Amino acid sequence: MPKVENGAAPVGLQFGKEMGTLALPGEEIGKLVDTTPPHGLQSPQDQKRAVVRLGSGVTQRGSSLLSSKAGKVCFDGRRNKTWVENNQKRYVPALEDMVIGVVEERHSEDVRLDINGTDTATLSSLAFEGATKKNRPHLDIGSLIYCRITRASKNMEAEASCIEPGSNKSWVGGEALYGELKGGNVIQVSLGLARSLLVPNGPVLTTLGAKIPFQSAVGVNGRVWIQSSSTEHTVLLSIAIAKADTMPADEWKAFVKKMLEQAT
Amino acid sequence: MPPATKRSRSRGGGAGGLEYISLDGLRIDGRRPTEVRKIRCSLGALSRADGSAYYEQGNTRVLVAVYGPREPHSRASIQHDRAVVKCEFSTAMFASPVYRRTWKGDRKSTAAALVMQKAFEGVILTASYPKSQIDIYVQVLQNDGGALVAAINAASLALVNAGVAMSDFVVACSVGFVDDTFVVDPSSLESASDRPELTLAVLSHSAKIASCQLDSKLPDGESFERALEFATSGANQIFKVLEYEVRKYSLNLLDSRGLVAL
Amino acid sequence: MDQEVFQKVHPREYLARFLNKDVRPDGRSLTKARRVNITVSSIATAVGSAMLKMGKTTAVAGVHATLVQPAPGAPDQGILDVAVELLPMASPNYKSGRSSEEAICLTEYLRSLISPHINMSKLCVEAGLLVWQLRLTVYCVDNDGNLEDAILLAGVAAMRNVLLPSVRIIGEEVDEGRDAQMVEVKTENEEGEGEAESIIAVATVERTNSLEIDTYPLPISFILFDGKVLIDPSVAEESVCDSRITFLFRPTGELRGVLKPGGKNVPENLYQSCLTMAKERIPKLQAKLEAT
Repeated sequence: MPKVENGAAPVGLQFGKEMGTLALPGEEIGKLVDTTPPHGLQSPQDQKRAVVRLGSGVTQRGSSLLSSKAGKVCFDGRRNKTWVENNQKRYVPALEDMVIGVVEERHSEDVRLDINGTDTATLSSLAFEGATKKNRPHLDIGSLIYCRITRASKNMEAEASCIEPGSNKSWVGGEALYGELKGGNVIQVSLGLARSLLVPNGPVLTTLGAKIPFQSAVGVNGRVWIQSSSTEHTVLLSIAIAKADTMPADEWKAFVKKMLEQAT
Repeated sequence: MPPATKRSRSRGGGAGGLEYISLDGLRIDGRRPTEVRKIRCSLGALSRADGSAYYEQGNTRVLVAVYGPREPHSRASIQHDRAVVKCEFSTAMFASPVYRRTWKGDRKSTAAALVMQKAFEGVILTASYPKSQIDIYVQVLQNDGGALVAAINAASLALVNAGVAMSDFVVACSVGFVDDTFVVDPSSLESASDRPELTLAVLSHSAKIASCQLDSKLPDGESFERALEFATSGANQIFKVLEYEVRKYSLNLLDSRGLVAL
Repeated sequence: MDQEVFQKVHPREYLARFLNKDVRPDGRSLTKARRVNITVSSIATAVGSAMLKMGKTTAVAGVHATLVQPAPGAPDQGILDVAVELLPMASPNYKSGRSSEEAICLTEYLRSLISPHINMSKLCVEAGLLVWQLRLTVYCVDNDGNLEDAILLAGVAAMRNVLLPSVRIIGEEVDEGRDAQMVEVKTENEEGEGEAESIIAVATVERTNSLEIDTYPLPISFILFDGKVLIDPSVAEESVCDSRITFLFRPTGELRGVLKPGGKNVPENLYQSCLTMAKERIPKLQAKLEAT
């Protein structure tokens, strides 16, 4: 039986449901299969490859994998990971997620961020590239921070960091990927919309960006930060993106067209 | 209908009484004994709740909202290793022809809330959300029999809408007994205080029973197993409808997310 | 934790940013009210009902009728009870349990504005013996702001929707038919001794008697923020406003009342803008109500 851990075409996993179809809670989406060869010896590499990762919305019962939510069955071959993609309003932190947090509390060594989940996340004021005890960012209550979840456990408060592995861009210059988002505007959207905004060259941001140049940061926790050269544009873009959550595609397209015509 | 004190109609079949099952085998509203009433429902009816559903089964209408997992209201109720599930069952002042106070604490409502709490505690993966609370709020707007059944089904939809992880999908159905016949999903006319009524909540995929209540003794010669069979068949009918609704809702969502080119 | 945390921490700044560009966070202009949808008669167990949506704010109102003995001091007057309930499902901030202050205030608000328009003598079946007792309950199931207007309109719509059966008192019991239903009202024996007597009445199954409400209040509310007026506030806008002002009109378009519960002073010119906007909106609102 291959080991299964949360947080590696599927190895050790046989899908009962076709990829991309909808599953309901309790529906079996696949079975774990034993990949140990007949002679019983498996190389460490094969063992590692046979690890099946279970993401959000998938639960295990014996050798069956069941969906725990209503959504689309997904699979990532690179990481041998399966999950069920659904839409909801509340965020549950997962490792490596990029989120936008709002500083709720300040302490001497760290801050508490609201990340739109049941619990808050802690961000150390030293978790910034190039930060030292004497030279670290001052984070006010209400500041917006774009950061990465570095510890996500259901039993403990999540931890976040603004250090990007492999990068040495100091927090000071404002060139680093993560850090405080100054100016601009932030809105709250559904998790599903946030995820779709992260798809490269996605229709929503491309349609808007074609007419108005702007910067944006999208947190998988349902927060979107927008900044453009004029406040008017920032405000209109905020409204347009928020509407994408409730309007059907055709209606949204028409709404944006009208809005853009009236703006510039 | 002015409700003050109603004269009771004579009950049961036979001469001079109300006929619940016609000679053709049809019930008063035209249904067959094994037929469930028409169901209409929609997910995401409310804007502030994390999950919600509006649900109609015949003339019984309920609205259910789910909040959570969120911070528990009181420190005392925090469980360190799982989520606490709380349920409130409330009936509108005008929901039944018989005047009833809307005070949520009334016995029947408290009992219903407890049944629901236990049923859903069994399917929600509470271990995934330690130290949090999940609230299920039920408001019965119109009660024509089977309010608890409607509430359970609506709550399943609302929990799915909220994205609360569950091990299965709960579906409920009730069975009554009129004119020596088991009838599935009895309306208020077919339910009476002295009639037996079985309310069943099952897990749709594993077929396990989440909750089962029998009010009143079954008449001699009638088996509990048979009543259960009827209830299960009713629940299967209902599940087909709910499953269709959930799929339709999820597909609509995926379409409008911009995941198909605008 | 409520969704809009950023708003929670810098709520005024958040709103000001939008208003400075003459637009609101939900995309509306400052002078645009949300769409109102009213559905009546949707609840068959009530003698009158209305479901109202004002944007996402949703209220469900229903009227329940009972036959009772009249109060000793008012033998030919019916009885009207009014209640507003803010259900926990309506907002993450509402807790269950006893009525909150807000619910109690809204109840009194609704009662004081609706009662004067109900002719209580119309509810009399037989003076001294039998009258109707109506209970109007408005449930707020989704709070996205401007509850005062939503519950008042829902209450008015439900009362206008009320249809009562015809009732007559009869001497003795008769068989119930398809068209009639027997009603027995136990009377209270004043001395409290002996068997309680009953009044037996028969009520038609068909309900055709309306309350004939000829006039009712139509509300339009505004909030003031940083010297700007916003019509029909959302819940986020309400939470940071400087003051609130409600205009009450008759269906004919006449102004019959103005409510401004505390808050910052309103300069004359802003008051006039509100009044002008309100007068413009009233015919549309009235048409919506009359269409039910």
